[in-house]
Amino acid sequence: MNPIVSGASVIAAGLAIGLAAIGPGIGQGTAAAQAVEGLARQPEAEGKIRGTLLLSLAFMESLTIYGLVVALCLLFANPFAG
Amino acid sequence: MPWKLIKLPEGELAAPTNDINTTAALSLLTSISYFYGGLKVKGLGFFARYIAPVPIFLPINILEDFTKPLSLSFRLFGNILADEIVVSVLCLLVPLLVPLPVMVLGLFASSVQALVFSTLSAAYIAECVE
Repeated sequence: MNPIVSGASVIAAGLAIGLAAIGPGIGQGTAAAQAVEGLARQPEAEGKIRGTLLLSLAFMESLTIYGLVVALCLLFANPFAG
Repeated sequence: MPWKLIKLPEGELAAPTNDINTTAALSLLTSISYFYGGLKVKGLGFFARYIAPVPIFLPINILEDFTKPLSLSFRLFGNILADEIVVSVLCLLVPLLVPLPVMVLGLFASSVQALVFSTLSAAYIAECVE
């Protein structure tokens, strides 16, 4: 593979997953904080709060997964190789 | 001494959803389901949802028809494949006890993803059938 292409792909893969982890990380932290606050206010709503929290965390996680898929595609199924 | 307690079957033991084709097929199934459900219940009035709530939303609603199966498939594929890659790399490096916590995390994450996929599919179908 062209060395410029492979070098650029590696840098791009690193940047993709690195930057993709920032936003959802902040968002998930905020969501968990609010969930814990709600739990502190109403401990008997634990089941609902936990269910809603897990669902929301999965949604935010999917944004990081998009970045991960781009990184994996660049590393293992690079369309610019050859 | 029977050092090998169980005999592993021939072939691959990994999850089938570590391939984008499987997850894409599943999410296209969801897509087809909500189209079919909407058309069956509402007939041709189903297409009124493209200009709801305001007609300026038309391109966004059309795009949503493409991003829904895309996000569903990518979410499931990424989660399953990421855990499998981490487990295989750890098994390559330190096969003894270190991959175990990652495997447990993978169990938890995959069950969450199953919940999310089914909840989202149900929500999409319900949104089109309402």
